[in-house]
Amino acid sequence: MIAMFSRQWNRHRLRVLLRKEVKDLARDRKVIVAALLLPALLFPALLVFSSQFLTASRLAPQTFLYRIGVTGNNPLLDELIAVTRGASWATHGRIEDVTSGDLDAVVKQTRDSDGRPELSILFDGSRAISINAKELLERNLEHLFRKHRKRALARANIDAASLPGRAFDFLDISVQSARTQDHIPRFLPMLLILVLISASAFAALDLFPGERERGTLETLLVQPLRPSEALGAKFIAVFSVGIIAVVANLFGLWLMTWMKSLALETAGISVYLLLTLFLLCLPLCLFVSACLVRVVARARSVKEGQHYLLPLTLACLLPPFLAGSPHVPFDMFTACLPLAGPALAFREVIHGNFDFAPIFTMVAMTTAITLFVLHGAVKHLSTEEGLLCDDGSAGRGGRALVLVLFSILLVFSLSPFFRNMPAISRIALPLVFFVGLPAILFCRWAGMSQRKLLLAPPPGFRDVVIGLSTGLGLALLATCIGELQRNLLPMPQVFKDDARTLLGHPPLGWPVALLLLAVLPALLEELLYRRLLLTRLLDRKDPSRALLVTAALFAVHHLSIFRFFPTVVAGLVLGFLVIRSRCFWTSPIAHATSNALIVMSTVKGFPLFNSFFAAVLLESQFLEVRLLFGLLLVAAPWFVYPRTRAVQPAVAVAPAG
Amino acid sequence: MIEAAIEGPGATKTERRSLVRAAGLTKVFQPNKNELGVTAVRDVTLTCRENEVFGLLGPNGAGKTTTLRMLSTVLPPTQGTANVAGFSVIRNPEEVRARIGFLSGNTALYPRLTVRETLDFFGSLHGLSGIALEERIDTVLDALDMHDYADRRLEHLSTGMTQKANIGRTLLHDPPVLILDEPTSGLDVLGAGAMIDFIEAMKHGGKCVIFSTHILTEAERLCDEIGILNAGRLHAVGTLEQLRERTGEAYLDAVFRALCREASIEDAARL
Repeated sequence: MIAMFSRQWNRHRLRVLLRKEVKDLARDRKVIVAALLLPALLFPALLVFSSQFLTASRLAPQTFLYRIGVTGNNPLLDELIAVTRGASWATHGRIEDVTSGDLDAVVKQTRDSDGRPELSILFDGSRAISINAKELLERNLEHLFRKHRKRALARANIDAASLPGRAFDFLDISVQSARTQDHIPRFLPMLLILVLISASAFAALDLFPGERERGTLETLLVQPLRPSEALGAKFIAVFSVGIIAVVANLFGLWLMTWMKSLALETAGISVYLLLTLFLLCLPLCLFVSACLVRVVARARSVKEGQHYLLPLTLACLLPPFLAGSPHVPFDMFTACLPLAGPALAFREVIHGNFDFAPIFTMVAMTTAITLFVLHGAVKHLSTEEGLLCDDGSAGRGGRALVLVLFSILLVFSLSPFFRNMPAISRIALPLVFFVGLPAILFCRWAGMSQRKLLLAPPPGFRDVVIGLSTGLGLALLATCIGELQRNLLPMPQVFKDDARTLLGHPPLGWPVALLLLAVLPALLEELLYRRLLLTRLLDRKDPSRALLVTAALFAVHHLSIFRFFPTVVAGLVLGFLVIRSRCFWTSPIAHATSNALIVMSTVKGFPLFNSFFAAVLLESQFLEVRLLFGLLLVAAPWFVYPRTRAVQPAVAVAPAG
Repeated sequence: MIEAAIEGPGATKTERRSLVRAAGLTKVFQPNKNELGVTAVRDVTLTCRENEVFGLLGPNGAGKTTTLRMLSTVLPPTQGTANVAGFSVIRNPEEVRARIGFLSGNTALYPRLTVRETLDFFGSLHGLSGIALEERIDTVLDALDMHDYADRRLEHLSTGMTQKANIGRTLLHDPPVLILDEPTSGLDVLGAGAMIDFIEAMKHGGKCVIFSTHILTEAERLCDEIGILNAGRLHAVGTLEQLRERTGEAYLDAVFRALCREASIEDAARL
C-alpha cells in the first residue's frame, strides 16, 4: 500500500509540502530545544555534573580505611606507605583479592621492558571504593614522582629529558561492561531513544493534532493535493526531526568524549563508531516516527496527544533501560524485540562487538514492524476524513495503546500473586476470572445465546486431521520459542510443578491431570477467544486486526511474561485456523493437542516423558529443523482450505431494540 | 477546463453557466459500521451560476458547514453527487480543489510563516512557480493592500490582517468558484464590511460564490438566491422576493423564522 501511494505522489507537491513543514518546525522553539539543544548538550552536561559529583564525593571526609595489598620491595613503595594516610596495608596482593572485595587495590612491583623496576596498581573499576583507593594512590605516587624529579633536577648536570618516565601504571581488572566509569554503553541507548522520542513527539504533535487544532490541516486539504501526500510529507518531517536529534545527540557524545580526553588523556570516540551508531539509528528513527504518527495522528488536540504520548514514552524507555544491564544478551531473540534490539545493538557496537547476524536481524525486524505500523497509518490517514478525524476514529489508536500497556502492567503485577497459590487455584482462577466471567458478560453484552455457544457444527474428518497437525506444529513452535528466549525469559517451572502436583494427588491419574491441564483450558479459552471474541470482531474489523486483538488478549490472560511470545503465536495460529477452516472445533482440537504434547513430553510421570518421540520432536538439538517443521504444520490450513471461504458468524446476534 | 468567457452581470439567469450543481447530497456520520449514524445533511440539491451569490441560511446544526465541506471535497458525501466547475467532487476531487477557493472558520493559516511565504506555499501547491507566482503574489498583495506587513509572521498580525491574508490565499489561483463558510464570523464591523465588499466584488468579477451566514442583513444585501437549511434538509430555495411571497412576510428575519417553523413541522410530520 505504501509503495502504491509513493508511485502516485507528485514529487513537486511533496517537495513544496516538505519545505513548508521543515520551515514551520524550524521556527518552533519547542522543536529547536527538543531536537537540537537538548540532545547536543545532554552528554556534555552529564559529564560536567558527574565530574562535579565525583569531585564533591572525593572531598568528603573519609570515614573508612582503604585496604591495600602490597607485594615486592621498592624504595618508592616504602615512601608511598609512609605518605599515604587512610589506608591499611596487607602484605599479600592477588587479583582474586581485589575481585572478591577483600582488598580495594593492590600495588605490585614489576619491571618494565628495559628491566627497570616500576609499580603496577590493580583496582576494580566496577567498585567506587576501589576507584577511590586507586585515585588516592595515584595522587600520592604523582606527588612522590614530582618530588624525586625535582631533587634530580636540583643536582647539577642532569638533563630533565634523560630522566625515566612515570614509573607506575594502572590495571583495571573488572569486566568492561561492569565498570562504573564506563557509563556510555549503559546510558547511551536509553538517552538516545529518549531524545529521539521527545524530539519526534514534539514534531508529530505539532504536525497532526496541532494543525488540526489550529485549523491549518483543513486549509491544506482544500488544496489540489492527495491526503496521502500531506501524510507522507508530515511523516518525512517527523523522521527528519528525529534524525536531526540523533545527529545532535551523537555530536554531544563526541563532545563529551573529546572533553574527557582533554582532561584524562584518554582516547576520544572514533568517527567510524559514530557513523556506525548513526546508521543503526536509521531503522529506529523510522520505527519511532511511524509509531508516533500512528498514535498521535488520532488525537483531536495537542493535549489529548500528550495523554497518549506519556504511556508510550514510558513503555518505550523500558526496553533500552533493560538493555543497559550487562546480563541481557544480544542474540537472535533479543534482536527481534522492538526498541530493545536497537538498544542492545548500540551497547554491543560501543563495546566493539560487531556481530553481523543479530544486527542484521535487528534491522530487518525493526523495518518489518515499522512497515506494519505504517501500513495501518496509511490505511486510516490517507483520506480527508481520516486526517481530520471526521471518520469517528478520533482517539482510537491512543485508547488501544493505553489498554494494551495497562494489560501488560496487570500481567506483571498479578503474576507474583498467582505464583504463590496452590496448583489447582492457579489453574482454576484465571479460567474463572479471565475466561468464564468475560464469556458470560460478553454474551450478555452482545445479546448472544449462551446455550448456543457449544452447538457449533461438528468437524469433518479433514478438520480433525488439520486440528491435530496444527496442534503438533504449535507444540514444536512453542518449545522452539522457549529455547530462543531462554537467555532473556527462561520458562519457569510453574507449569511442570502444577502437573507434578496434580499427578501426585492420589485420586488423580495422568488422564485426569491431562484433562485439567490440557483439554479443559483449551476448550474454555477457545470458546471465549475464537468462538465469541474473534467472530464478533470479524463483524466489525478487518480479519488481520481481529486476529491481532484476540491473540494479544489471549497472551495477556496467561498472566506470565515468560509465556507471552509463545501464546501470541498460538493465538495468531489458532485464530487463522478458525478463519480459514470455518469450523470452530479445529481450534480446541489444535490447542488441546499442543497442550497435551508439551505436558506429556516434558513432565516426569506422563507417558511420553523421555520417550523417543519426545526426544526427537521436543528435546532434540535440531532447532532449525523443528522450527521449519512446526511452521509447515501451522501453515497447512493455508494450503488445505480454499481462500474464498468466508467465516460464518458463530452465534446469531439479537437485533438491537 | 473552463472554456466559456465570463459573461457580464447583465446576462440572464438561464444564459449564465452553472458552476456548482449538487444533487441529492447526503452525509451520514457513522462512528462505527455497526452503529446507526447521525445524518447531518440529507438530499440537498442546489445550483449556483457564475456572477451569482448563493446564500445558505439555517440555524445552528442545520448542516450548512457540512454541505460546504462536501462541495469543497473535504468530506465525501455518503449519497448523491456534486459537480463543481464541471468536475465531480467524488471522482475528481483534485480538479475541483484546483478550481475553488474555500474559506471558513476552520481554515486557518500557518502562524509561523509570513504572509508572503504563505502565499508562496499555496501558489506552489496550485502549480504556480517562478516569475508567474511572484507576479500573482504581488497582484494579490496590491489588491488587498497587504504590502506593509507582507514579510511579517502571521502570529504577529491582527485578526483582520490574518483574514485578509486568508482571502489572499483563497484568490491566489484565481478560482471560478468561491465557497465561504461564515466568512464574517469573528470580524469587527470594519472587517466584516470589507468582507462584504469583497464578496460583492467577486460576484461582479464573474465568480460563483456560495456562502453560509447567520447574519441576515448580509444575505439580504448579497444573495441572488437563498437556500434555507433546517435539520439537514434544504427546505426552500429561491430569490428573496420568492421567499417573501411564499411566507407573506416582509422582513428577512421573519421570512427565515417562518420557513424554519415550516421545516420543523414538516420534519415532525415525516417522523
